[in-house]
Amino acid sequence: MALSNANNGATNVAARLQKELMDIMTNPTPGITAFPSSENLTIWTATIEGPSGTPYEALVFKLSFEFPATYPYSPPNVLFKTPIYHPNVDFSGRICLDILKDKWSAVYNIGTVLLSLQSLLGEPNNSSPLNGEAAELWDNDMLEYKRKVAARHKTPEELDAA
Amino acid sequence: MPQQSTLSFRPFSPRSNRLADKASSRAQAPDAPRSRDADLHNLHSNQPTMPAMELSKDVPDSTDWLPTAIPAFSHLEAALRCEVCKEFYNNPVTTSCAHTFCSLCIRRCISVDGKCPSCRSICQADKLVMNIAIREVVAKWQDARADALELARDKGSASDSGKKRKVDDTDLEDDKEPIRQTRARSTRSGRSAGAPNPYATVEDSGGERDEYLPAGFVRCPMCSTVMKQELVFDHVEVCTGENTNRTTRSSKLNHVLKDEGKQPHLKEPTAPVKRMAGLNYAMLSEAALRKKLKELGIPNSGSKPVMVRRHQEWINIFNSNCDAAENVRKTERELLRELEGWERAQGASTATIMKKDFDGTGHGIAHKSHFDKLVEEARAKAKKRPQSETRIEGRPETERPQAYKDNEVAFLNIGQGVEGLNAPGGRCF
Repeated sequence: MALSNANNGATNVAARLQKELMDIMTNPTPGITAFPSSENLTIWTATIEGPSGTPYEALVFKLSFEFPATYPYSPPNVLFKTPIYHPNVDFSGRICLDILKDKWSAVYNIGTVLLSLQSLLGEPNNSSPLNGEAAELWDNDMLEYKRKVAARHKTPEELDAA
Repeated sequence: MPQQSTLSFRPFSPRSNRLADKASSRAQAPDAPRSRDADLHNLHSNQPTMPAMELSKDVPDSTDWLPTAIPAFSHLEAALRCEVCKEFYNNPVTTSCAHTFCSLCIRRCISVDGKCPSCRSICQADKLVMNIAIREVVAKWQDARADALELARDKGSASDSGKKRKVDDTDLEDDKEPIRQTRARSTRSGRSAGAPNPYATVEDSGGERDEYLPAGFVRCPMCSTVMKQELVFDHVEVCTGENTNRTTRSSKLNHVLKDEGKQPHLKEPTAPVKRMAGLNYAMLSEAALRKKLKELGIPNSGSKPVMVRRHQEWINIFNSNCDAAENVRKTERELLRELEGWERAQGASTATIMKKDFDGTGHGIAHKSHFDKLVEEARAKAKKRPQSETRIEGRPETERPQAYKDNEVAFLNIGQGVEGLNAPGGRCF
């Protein structure tokens, strides 16, 4: 059986990421993209579209994924590259999401993480905020919240220019 | 991927084994909405090439079926793959919560957090049981896959009308070797031409090409005796060409077939291999753990956390090998090599061992000529530089930093040399 040696350490991460890439390219999910960087398969760039009916509607956010050698047994390191105003994201783009920390499971993949992040945009977890001001505004002053979201956002073109 | 940016239709090349080819041909598959692909290209137009290191490997996966005549097989195949590694189940085991994974995959998950990755309920390694049925299905599917995929691809490109139709015999006759033919046929259910149940009777009516032979068996071209494929070449050397009579031929074949069908059931209950128990690492001192690793015959270098991780992985590799079918079980030496491969892949986390065990003087002796050459080069440069430098600016202070600059070149070269040698087998991936 040619495939029985697939579990051999060194090829683990690369093999699994290749399969994920195949999967994403052949079954694309609307509002989500992901692609590895040109020189390193363990570093990916992804984008999510803000879900409609939320303050993030029609905005596109860029993220970076870094996969450890122990992936998928440990979660990828995910950061928002686009500045985002959100209760569970700090100003350097670090994300507070349980499935990226202690609730990680080896069956999750890039697609499921991106979908979870997309739904986090519309349903922030305000009980453990990284950005306290955003959590308060979300609960009390939606207009001001929307203004702050728009002020902080940059389009991918603006990001590339900077 | 440069090919991607064109939206023209590319015919499927069944023999192509390059990821780039696969990806681009699939991206054009009718199932994939083109606008999404176009978006993807635009978004990543600044990084259009695939990581070069990965291109040479073929990645068979369930999406191979999407552009064929039987796209539904991609779901079938996805169901035969482990959710953790996305490979075909390798030594499948079932948890107490009834989820199935590769033995090694679930064991690794359990050593990380002790939970089932699918439902997050508590999971124990000693509650895992082999799933022999899935193992058999996967093995047989893998045997049939290449031929089935080829057939499905041919059908897909030849005619769309033939999507659900059963394949005719005439399609199979086209310049394909008999063995392939019989294999492809054995994958079809409900075929009843000639022999309704191939396991009961074998019709030997002259038409050799219509005869059922189990996968891996062929007829000797001279005496027509049925034998295993790998034996036929040795046999032909000594074959007298004498045709054994009809009854012995079919009875032999029946015997062979009977063996094939029964073997797995007879074999399984025998030889239960003793699985290794875990250790309570908190109760063990570093020295005791080091001794334990030595007793087990695995490397015992590094700090305690490094040894703990190595021991855990060793138990996982060892016990998952116990879940393998007897005939594919690996030797301890192969397992040790796997452990070594794993340790190398961990890279940064275990790099401290390498530094500690690095034999500096040995390395110096082995590469003396290389160092000497570097020193010479550096000296030659040092002689050249000051002249050109003083022409531009005559300040005396420039002389000292200049000397450091040349050393830097030498250091860089040495650094690169050492790095290249330290990385066993070059890159990690």
